[in-house]
Amino acid sequence: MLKIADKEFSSRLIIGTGKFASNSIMKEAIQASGTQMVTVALRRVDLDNPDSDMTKAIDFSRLQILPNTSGAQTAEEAVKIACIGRTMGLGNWVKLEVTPDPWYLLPDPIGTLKAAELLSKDGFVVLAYMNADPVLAKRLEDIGTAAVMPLASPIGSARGIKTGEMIRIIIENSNLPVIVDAGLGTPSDAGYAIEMGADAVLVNTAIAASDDPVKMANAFRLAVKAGRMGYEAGLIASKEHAYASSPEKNII
Amino acid sequence: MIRENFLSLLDNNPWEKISGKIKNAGLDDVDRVLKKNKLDMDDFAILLSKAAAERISVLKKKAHQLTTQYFGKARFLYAPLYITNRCINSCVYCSFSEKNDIKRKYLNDTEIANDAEYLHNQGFRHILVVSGEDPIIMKSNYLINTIALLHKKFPSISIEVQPLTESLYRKAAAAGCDGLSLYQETYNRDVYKTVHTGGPKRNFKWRINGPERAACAGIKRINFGVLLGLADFRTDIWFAALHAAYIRKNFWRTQIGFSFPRIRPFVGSYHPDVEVKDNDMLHLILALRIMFPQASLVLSTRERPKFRDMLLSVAATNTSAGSKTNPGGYSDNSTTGQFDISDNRSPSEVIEAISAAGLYPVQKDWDIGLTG
Repeated sequence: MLKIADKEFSSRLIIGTGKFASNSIMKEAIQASGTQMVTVALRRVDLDNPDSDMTKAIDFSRLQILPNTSGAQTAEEAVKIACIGRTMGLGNWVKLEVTPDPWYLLPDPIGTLKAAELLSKDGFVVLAYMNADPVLAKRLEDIGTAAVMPLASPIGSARGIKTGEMIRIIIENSNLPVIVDAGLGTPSDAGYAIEMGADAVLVNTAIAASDDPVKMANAFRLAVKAGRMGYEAGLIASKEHAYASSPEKNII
Repeated sequence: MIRENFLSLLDNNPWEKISGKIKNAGLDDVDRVLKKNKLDMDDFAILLSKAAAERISVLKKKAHQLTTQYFGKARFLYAPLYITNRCINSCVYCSFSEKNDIKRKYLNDTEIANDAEYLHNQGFRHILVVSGEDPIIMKSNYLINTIALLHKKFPSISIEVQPLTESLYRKAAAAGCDGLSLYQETYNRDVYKTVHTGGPKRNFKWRINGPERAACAGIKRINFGVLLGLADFRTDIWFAALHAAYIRKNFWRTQIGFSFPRIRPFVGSYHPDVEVKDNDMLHLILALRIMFPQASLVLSTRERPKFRDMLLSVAATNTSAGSKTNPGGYSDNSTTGQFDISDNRSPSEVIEAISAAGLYPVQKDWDIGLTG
């Protein structure tokens, strides 16, 4: 089981909601993915206009809603918007995103740490989107963050796991759940992250922007499941040389 | 930080040299550029060439793939709100030119609130405040007060007004303005002088440095554009891209976008020298998407419904809907608009068309928490 703060999840796949063609496709994809947690951009939620609200398509009773601060460029903006989400009744979980660079949407380490500290002290369960920086992961752990979310490559880029060496160190050192977020382009990328020992992955674009989001959501579900089984079974070590599949030594 | 001035960058890239580069590009150049992942401004010149137009289907495929990668299926809607058609400029292509005998008006707070209420009820949460160039905007707090008034209802407010001072941009940002549309109209200085026959807009330099002043002041999104039909549009778009790339390089927090105003019938007798056909406009949009995968590409209701729907399905990401281009137009039709509208569909009809194309129409993509 994946445990974040005081909650347990049997699914290790978290779904982003920003890029689907319609609410109905999103709803079906969420079901097919088997996810128990979806992240929603607070800036997209429109309380004045509940009819157009994408959250209508999301089953709040069954799913953990993870409001995110996407769009925030500074710690102050992120804190403000997280508080708005809580006031709206979306709970005290937040995916913290502080991304001052609109081009690659890379997270600001300084702003993220600052906002994570303020929000954690204020009672939020903070899941922090961050660059794959092992020291930052420990600093976030020290100040009370609930989970770290290192990026695999720039968000939406589908470039796969480019920060693997650093993610490996983060996983090795962390006492918190490590959720690999951003840049996972294929089900095998997600499976690989989980095999490495990541506790969960977050996927949006690779599912939402595919030609068949529902089928792709299912593919991610299976890949994550396979990856976890592989991890639990114990991966064998890779070797320098060839070793015959049917050993000949000592046979005769 | 030592920043190269954009005007000196402009001086180092003479118009004739760039238009020559675009004219001389061949199919071999185009095919080479289409294989690259990262493009520079020389590559962009090749992408804009007539030779590249022969590869339009390849451009379309690549642009569509990049749009889907960066924006998914989401498409963003906004509405313009004209606050005045009073103007002290005489631009030969514009109905608001002071030389035109039209009914002038600027909206008072109640009239602004009426239009705002109407747009809010239509679901819009992003509006573009537009005005003619009027001293009242510089001298009083009219614009800033208007932004503050609208910000109570709209989390995202862009402005399309005359170029302001840095300190006024700062005040605008503090009042809730997060976006600027400031089109140079043309980067060809000779044409610029010919079409801007009187008023402060004749000052090419003041206008061209406007985006930089706004970026310094912390305006988050800046939209560039040229008025298509004034000068050679391929060369003009190259310069608009140079301008945007310059802002991006020097102001890393600023998001850039492009708009594609094409000259439409208006009050006055000017006829554009250059015809920009639908295929030309499509070509420009595709080239810009390939050059700037993350940029917002914005359409207005100047264009016909079918053409707009097609552009949105391929590469454009933002569009206005149900627009009125006269001050108070949403509640009163007695004033003259800036240009004729080609897409007269209501916002809900546009939203329906976007959904029918398998795209997700987004009216709210910002929150007061981020701007106010």
